[in-house]
Amino acid sequence: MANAVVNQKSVLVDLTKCVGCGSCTVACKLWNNQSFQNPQTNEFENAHGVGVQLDSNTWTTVEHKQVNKDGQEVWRFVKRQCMHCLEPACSSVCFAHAFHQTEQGAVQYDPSVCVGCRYCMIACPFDIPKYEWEKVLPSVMKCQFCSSKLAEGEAPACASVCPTDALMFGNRDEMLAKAHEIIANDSRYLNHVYGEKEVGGTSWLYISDVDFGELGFPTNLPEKSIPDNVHGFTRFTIPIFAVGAAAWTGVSLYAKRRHAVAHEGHHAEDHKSEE
Amino acid sequence: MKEWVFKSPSGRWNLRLTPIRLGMIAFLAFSLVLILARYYAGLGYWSNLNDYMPWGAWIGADMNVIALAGAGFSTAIITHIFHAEKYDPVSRRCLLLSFIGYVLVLLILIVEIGRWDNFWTPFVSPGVHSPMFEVYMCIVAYLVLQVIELIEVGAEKVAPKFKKKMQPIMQIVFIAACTVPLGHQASLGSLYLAMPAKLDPIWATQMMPWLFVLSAFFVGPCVATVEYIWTNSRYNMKIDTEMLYGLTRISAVLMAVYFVLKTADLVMRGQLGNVFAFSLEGNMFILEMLLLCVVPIIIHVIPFGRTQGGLLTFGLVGMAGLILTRLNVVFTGMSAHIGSLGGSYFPSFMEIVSTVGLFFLAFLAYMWVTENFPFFFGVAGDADKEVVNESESGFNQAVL
Repeated sequence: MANAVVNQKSVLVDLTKCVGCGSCTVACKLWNNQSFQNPQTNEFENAHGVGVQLDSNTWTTVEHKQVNKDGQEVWRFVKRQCMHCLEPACSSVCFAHAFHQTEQGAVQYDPSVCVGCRYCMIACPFDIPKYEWEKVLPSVMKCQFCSSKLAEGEAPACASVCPTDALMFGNRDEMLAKAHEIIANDSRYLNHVYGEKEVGGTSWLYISDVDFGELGFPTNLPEKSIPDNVHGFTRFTIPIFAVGAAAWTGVSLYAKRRHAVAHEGHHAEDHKSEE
Repeated sequence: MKEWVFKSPSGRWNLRLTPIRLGMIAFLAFSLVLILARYYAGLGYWSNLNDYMPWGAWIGADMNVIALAGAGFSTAIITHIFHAEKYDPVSRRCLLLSFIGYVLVLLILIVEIGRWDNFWTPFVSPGVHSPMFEVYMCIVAYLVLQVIELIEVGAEKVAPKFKKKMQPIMQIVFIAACTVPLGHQASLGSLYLAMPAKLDPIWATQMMPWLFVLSAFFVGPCVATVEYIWTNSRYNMKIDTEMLYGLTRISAVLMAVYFVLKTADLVMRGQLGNVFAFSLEGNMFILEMLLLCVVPIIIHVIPFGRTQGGLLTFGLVGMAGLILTRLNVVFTGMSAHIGSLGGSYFPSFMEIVSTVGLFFLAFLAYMWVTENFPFFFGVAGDADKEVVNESESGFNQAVL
């Protein structure tokens, strides 16, 4: 897949440092000019807390989760938003090319060409894109990685307001090195940088001291990217048509000829019996 | 009901209404009101689709209609590529059935998609890597080819000279029309290659596109058989069970191939244990394989399979199996993942009514078109006579 990304940016999320204050969710709402209302019920909703969910108004959440760690109940706070895959499923499955990657690796959505088939929503391995179900002409909604800020060399709104340094912004290779360094120097961390290899790698990276599955991350993702998986079939498209058309032409001509021969044979026999 | 099923070129037009048809029209009108309301109020208000289950009943219906409308494609291959001319009586009506099926798919899609006003953007902003793009382009191309084929059939009644002029290009059209559906039938299977971690592993295999093409191909004769028996009984025309038996044999052989391929696929991926795990997915899969392959093959090999009732059962069971196969991918195979997100889905009243209403539109269109154009061999009320041969009925054998 053609890739315009030249300066891949990344946010490293250290889940052990997050205190669940929700500042990032507020910064996101303010920067993207979104309301705190649930789009369906119009009721006020917080974007951080127990059981919070992404929706078309809420591009990032911090979910408060009580999980079991070494036999003890502990609280962990999990920020969710678009992972900005290096090879995005949403972009590759969109038949109207409504998604593209910026130079910094932000996966951007263009509502002007969107047909609204919602394939991106069902194909996203992290179930991120949400829909404006309540609108007459709806768009798909998801985190845009504050692409205009990234283009200026700035951190995204959420990362820029984090008071505990749980969100670290920088070039992806540097963030990846940093993640491994933190893990190597502190035995509390699991030896897994979530997002390093999942579905071909993501811009957002997570490190944690609690199993990622417990925290609600999908843990059955292949290392192969979704576009690669689909391409395993779509690369046969042109060959299928070429071989198909050639085979049908060949079989058709052969079958016709065989019929003609059989017919001649028939006529010859008829002729004999008449004699 | 002693009348010609189709008239000679100078015949009058026939738009017959029966109580059932009037009922269908009333239901269709009701569903159109709901569909208009959907455009006014948005998808969220009238449907149960949600962020966890963005594809629902409409997509399920479309996946099925495209596969069942594959009847046009498989019978065309049998009669036009393999030149098995004894099956001509079914191929032309399957072309119409298939065309109406594809129009139905597009109608449902226009209700389903959120930005129906942007239906044209894939042509100017193509996402060429998407299986959906291939599905869309192939269906549009196939519709154009079908329109050409149907114009040829229609010309038989209204412009026989024009029909003759079309002959030189028809062979190319037939070859193309037998090739293009390979693309969209397979791409429909490849849609779900994008969800390797979401779709249940029983179904999530790289072989899905090929299994989709194969099943769409062999369900063709099932659809053709059911349609043939149903219509010919309705119009009191002779039913050629020997011909149908030959047609179902093609299906039965390919069903066996499908069964072997799918089993090999499960064994190679180590999924046989999941099939027999007494889970919802496992049980639904077993039922799918029973209906799609095992039961029809058994019906075919026993003497019952040669009778009219046996042929009809064969076709209906095969169709039910195919419908279950597609619904299992869209719903059963995805249900565990949707549930893990805390989501759920059951089609709303409006989703069901709009789908059924549009199906009625398709049935009505099929009946009216076949009552006015030459799609059937023979004449109404000839059940006791021999089938009228092609030249007498004005039927040109060289076409679909």
